[in-house]
Amino acid sequence: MDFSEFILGNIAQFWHLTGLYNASWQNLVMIAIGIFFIWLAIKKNFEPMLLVPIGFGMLIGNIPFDTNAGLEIGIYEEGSVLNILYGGVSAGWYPPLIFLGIGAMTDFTALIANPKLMLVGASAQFGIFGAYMVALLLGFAPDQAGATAIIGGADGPTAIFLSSKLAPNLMGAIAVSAYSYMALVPVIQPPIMRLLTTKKERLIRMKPARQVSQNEKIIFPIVGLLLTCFVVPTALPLLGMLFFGNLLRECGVTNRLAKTASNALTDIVTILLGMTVGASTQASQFLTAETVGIFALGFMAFIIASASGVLFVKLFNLVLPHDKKLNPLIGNAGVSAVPMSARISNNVGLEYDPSNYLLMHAMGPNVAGVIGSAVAAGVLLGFLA
Amino acid sequence: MKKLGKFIALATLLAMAAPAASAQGRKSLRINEVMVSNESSIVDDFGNRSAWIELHNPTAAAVDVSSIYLTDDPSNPTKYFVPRGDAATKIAKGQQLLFWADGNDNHGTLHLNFTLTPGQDNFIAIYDADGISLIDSVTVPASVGADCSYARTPDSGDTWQIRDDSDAASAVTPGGLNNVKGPNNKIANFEKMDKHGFAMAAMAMGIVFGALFVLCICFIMIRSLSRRNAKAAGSSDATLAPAPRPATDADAEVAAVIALALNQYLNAGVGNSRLTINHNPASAWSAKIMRELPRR
Repeated sequence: MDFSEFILGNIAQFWHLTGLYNASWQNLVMIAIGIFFIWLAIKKNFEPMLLVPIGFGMLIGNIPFDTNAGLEIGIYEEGSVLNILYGGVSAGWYPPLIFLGIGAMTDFTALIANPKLMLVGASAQFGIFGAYMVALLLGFAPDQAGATAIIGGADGPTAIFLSSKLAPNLMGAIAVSAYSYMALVPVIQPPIMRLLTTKKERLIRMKPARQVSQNEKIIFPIVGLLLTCFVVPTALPLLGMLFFGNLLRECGVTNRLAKTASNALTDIVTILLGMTVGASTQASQFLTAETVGIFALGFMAFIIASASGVLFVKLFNLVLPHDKKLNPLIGNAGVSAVPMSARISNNVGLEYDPSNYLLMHAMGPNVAGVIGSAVAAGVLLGFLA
Repeated sequence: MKKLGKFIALATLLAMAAPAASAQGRKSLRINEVMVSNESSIVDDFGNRSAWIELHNPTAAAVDVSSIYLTDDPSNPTKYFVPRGDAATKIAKGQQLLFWADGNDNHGTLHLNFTLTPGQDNFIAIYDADGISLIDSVTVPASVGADCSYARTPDSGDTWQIRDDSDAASAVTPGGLNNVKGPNNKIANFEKMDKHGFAMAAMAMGIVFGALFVLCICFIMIRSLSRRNAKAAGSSDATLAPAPRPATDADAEVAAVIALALNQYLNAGVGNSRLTINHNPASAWSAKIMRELPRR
C-alpha cells in the first residue's frame, strides 16, 4: 500500500461514516419536522419551552450515521451519552421530577375555594378512555391503546411515564404527539367550545372565589396525596411528587426548596426531557404507520377530552342552583395543559363579555385535570401492567 | 442548651438510621430454593455436582450479599463469610444467586465451606454482617429426594413446595425464577372480555371520579370547618384572610410597581404614558473601577 492509497482509503472510509452518505429521505423528513417545531416555537410562540428542545432534539436524533460502526453516539446505542440521558425518559424518572416542579409552581387556591371543580377535571379524563375505545377498534392491543389514549390527558410527563411502562416502543411518538397537541391547544379548543355552548351560556358570570386560608393550602397536598394514592397507588410517582412540590410551596418554611424545584430543577429536567424525547424520534423508529395512527388518536383524544369537560359543566348546571351556575367555557380546562387551557377559557369568555374574567375559575378544573390525568394513568397502569 | 440537645438527638437518630438504611436491601434477601442431593442436576464451573442454595433478591434495587454469613448450624451463625470485593456477590433486582454447598470454599466465593446431608433435615440460615441478625432460615425436610428441590412459591413467597421437575409447575430452577411469568394475562383477558373497551372506560372513569369526588367532599368539609372556626372567631367567610406569606424579592418589585403606578395616576395623571422600571444592570464587573486602566 502506498501513501496515496492509504490517504484515499481513509477518506473513503470517512465518507461512509458521514451523514451525507447515510442520509435517507426519512431523516430529511424528520429534520424538516424538527425545523418546523422550532419555527412554531420561535415565530408563533407555541409552547417554546417544549418545542425548542423537542425540535432541536429531532435534529440531533436524525443526523444520519452508520449505526453499524459501533461509535456509541446514537440515542438507542447502549452506553452513548444520549442513551444515558435518555435513561430518564425510558426508565420514567424525568416525569416525576417535572411533577415536583409543577407542584411547586401550582397554586391550588381556585380548586380549594370551589372543590366541586374537581369533578370538571375528572370529567375531561373521558377523553382518555374514549380514545382507548377507538384505539381498540383500530386494532391496537389494550396496553398500546392505553398508552396512546393518555395523550387525551394533555399531560406530557404523564404520557411519557405511562408509555414507558405500557408501550416503550411507542413512547417517542406518544410523547411528541402529546407535546404537539399541548402546543396546539389555542388552535384546537376554541372551535369546540364555541360549538358546544350557546351565547347565553358563554355570558354566565361566576361568583368570585372565596379566600382560602393558609391552613387549607397546607392541608391540601397532604390530604390530596393520602386520599388519591390510597385509591390509586400506581399513580404514586406522579402524585407523590406533585403534592410534595405543592407542600414545599405552601408550607412557608421551605421557600428555597420550592424555588429550586419550580425554577432550576424544572428547567434542567425540561431541557433534558425535551431534547431526548426529540432525539428519540429517529426516522427508522418514528416514521411508521403506527405513528400516524397515534397522532390521529391523540388528536381525537384531545377533542373528546375538551368536549366532555364542556358538556359535563352544562350537565352539572342542571343540578346547580341559579346563583352557583358554572360557565361551560371553563370545561375545556379540565385537560391538564396548565395554564394554557385556562387561558383559552378566559380569552374565549372575554370575546363575548370583555369584563367576564374566567381565568381563576378555569384554573380550578385545570389543576384538577393534572391530578385527574395522573389518577387515570395510575388506573391504566393498574389494569394493564 | 435546649437547641444543642435537639441537635444531638437528631444526629443520634440519623446515625442510627444510616446503617439500617444501608442494610435494608440485605434484610429482604430470601433463601429461595435448595437442592440437597444433586445426582443429575446442574454442574458447577469445575464440572462437579453438589448441593446448592439459591438466594433471591425481591427488592427493586441490586443487593450486594458480601459480608453476610451462610450456615447450616444454628449454634454457629458465622460459619461461612461471603467475601467482600467480588462482583459476583451482587444480585440484580428480582434476580437470584446460587451458592454451592460442596465444602470447597477454595473454589471461589460462591462455594461454601459446608455440605448438606441427604436423608435428614437440613437447617440453612443467612445472617447479616453482624453475625447476629437473622435474615432468613429454612429447614429442608428429609423427604426431599434426589434431584428434587425445596422451593418457595412464588419467588420469596411464604409457601414452600418440593419440586421434582415432573411438569412446568414443579420445575427445578437453579439460578432462575421459581415462577416464570408468562404473557400478561390481564391484557389477554381485556382483549377477550372487553373487546370494545366499555368495561375499562366505565371502571376507570368510576375510579377517577371516585377519587376526585372523595377529595371534593373532604375539602367541602374542611371549608365548613373553616367557616365554623371563622364564625367562632367573629369573622365572616368572606374575611377568611390567608395567613401572610413571607415576602419575596418579586413581591417587593410588584408592590413597588403598583405603588409607583398609583402615585403617577393619582398625582400626575396617567394619560397615555407608560411606566417602565429598568433593572439596574450594574454589577461588580461593570463598576467604574473595573473599567479604569491600571496606572503605571
